[in-house]
Amino acid sequence: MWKMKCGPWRYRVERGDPIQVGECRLFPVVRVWTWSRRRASVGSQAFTAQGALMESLAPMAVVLERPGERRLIPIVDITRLLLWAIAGLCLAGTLSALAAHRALRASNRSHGGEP
Amino acid sequence: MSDIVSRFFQVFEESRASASVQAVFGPPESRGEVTVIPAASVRYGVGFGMGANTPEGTEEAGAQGLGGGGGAGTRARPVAVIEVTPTEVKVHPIIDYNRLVMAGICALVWLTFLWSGVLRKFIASRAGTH
Repeated sequence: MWKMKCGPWRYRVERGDPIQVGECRLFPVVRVWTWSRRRASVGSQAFTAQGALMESLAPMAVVLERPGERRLIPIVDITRLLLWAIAGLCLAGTLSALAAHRALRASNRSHGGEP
Repeated sequence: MSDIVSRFFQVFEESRASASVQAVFGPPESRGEVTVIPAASVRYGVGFGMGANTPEGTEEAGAQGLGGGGGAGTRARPVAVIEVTPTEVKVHPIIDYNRLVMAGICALVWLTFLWSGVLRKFIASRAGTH
């Protein structure tokens, strides 16, 4: 459906087969992050091969189709959003603590105290 | 040997193609007029490595060295449930409170540790100036 590639990273959005429920047809939409790497070297006396793949699939939305209606219903991963919010708060708290620490050191120096 | 390598990469590509929309959206379950469709976030990883060596002058059987290994892991986490009724379609998000509480506690411990150090320095500098 939609693709993007950057080095070993790939991002794509896929639409699956419709799920029929009564008059409704629901088309699931999934976002996929892929990281893959593979390598092989074949010589006259030796050969080596390595490969690795990581993939993350998450629901993005469902497209609802029924007589006289067609709309996109987004699916939000609230747990993931809240975890990112906690990580952001943690980062902000860490940076502000470092800034406060530097400010204290600078003021101590200017007052002739301990560095 | 190159056959083995190409077979390995074929298995590798097949495992990749098998990950599809069906892994994320479960089959619909109906109870009366209500149908629910579970949706999950799925992550998986596969890795392998192999190598062979035939030192010069040791072409006879048994002198070859060959080794390899691999591993795989997968994780799935429920994200939402889609509820379909004859009149409407609703998405009910699933919140993982255990993960949130654990992440919150870790963040709180880290920030308390950092800010207690800053506060100690602040109190010490105040005591030094007065």
